[in-house]
Amino acid sequence: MVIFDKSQLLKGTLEGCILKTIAREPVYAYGAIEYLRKKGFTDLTEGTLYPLLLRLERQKLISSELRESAVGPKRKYYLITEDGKDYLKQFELEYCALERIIKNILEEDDE
Amino acid sequence: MNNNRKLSRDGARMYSNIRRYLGDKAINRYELKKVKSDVFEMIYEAETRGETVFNVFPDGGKAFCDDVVKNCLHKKWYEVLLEALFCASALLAIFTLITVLGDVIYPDEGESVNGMYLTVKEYTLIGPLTGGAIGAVFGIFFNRNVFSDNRRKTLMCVIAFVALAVFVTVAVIVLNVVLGERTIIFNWVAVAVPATALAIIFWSLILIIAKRNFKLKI
Repeated sequence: MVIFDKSQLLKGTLEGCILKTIAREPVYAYGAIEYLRKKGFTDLTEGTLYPLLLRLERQKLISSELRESAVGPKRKYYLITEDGKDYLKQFELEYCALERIIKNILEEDDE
Repeated sequence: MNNNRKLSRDGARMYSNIRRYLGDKAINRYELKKVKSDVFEMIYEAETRGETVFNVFPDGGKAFCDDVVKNCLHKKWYEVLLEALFCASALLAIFTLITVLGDVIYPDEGESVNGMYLTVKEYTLIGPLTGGAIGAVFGIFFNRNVFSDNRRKTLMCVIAFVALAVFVTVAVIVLNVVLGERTIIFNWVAVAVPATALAIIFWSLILIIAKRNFKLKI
């Protein structure tokens, strides 16, 4: 039996969720992880998140800056850019449309 | 960036492996510096929270590194070319200077220096060439297999060593047959000075171009 690979399903959608998290307020990597874990991405680690942050930064959808931390050395905070905000709007529209389509198909099969 | 902060043994090992593995990839040098610093911070913060490095990279360091390589800024072809030119000019300068220095220390053996002229037996050129090749192959080999288990590492090490031994033996035999005892005479100052200057110029260009490409990304 082939085991369903959840990571394939997550590809792309996780990127949108990270952008949404950063759009709420500037966060550092572990802050974003804590928030996303609370929302249900319980398996998420820095090792998974960091390459995605690198990609988003490279695409100029987010930027980063060092800020003072109360508990130690400066932390790198991520901020959403104007391009990032536009991208996030597109992602939300496309995701909602896709969700409706998939829901229609799955419910049809159940009937 | 590290400011004398220390990682645990596992953390330091993972950090070192990640540095070596990524260092072997054609990543922009400023991007690489940034990634290394971020990785250090990630591991350090996790350990401060009481987690281990395995909580940060549950799939292992290799999967993380491969993801990073996919998503980061790479060197352009002309940066790679400049690095090759830098290596060639630096090797030439170092070889010439070592040969001259060797003659000063051991005047009766090997190559000889007559004023500004250096007399070199052609087959001895195999020394720096194979030395450079051996260093490069072993460096690449170790960095690429840094996440492999010890058995695989040992096996690959033996294969690499045998391949290099065959290469060096064949090269020495061919050069001995083709070149024999022929010597070349050249003005070592006229070689060492331009080679050193070129190495400095190429290195400066590498840094300037890498920084410009990195800034264009941000």
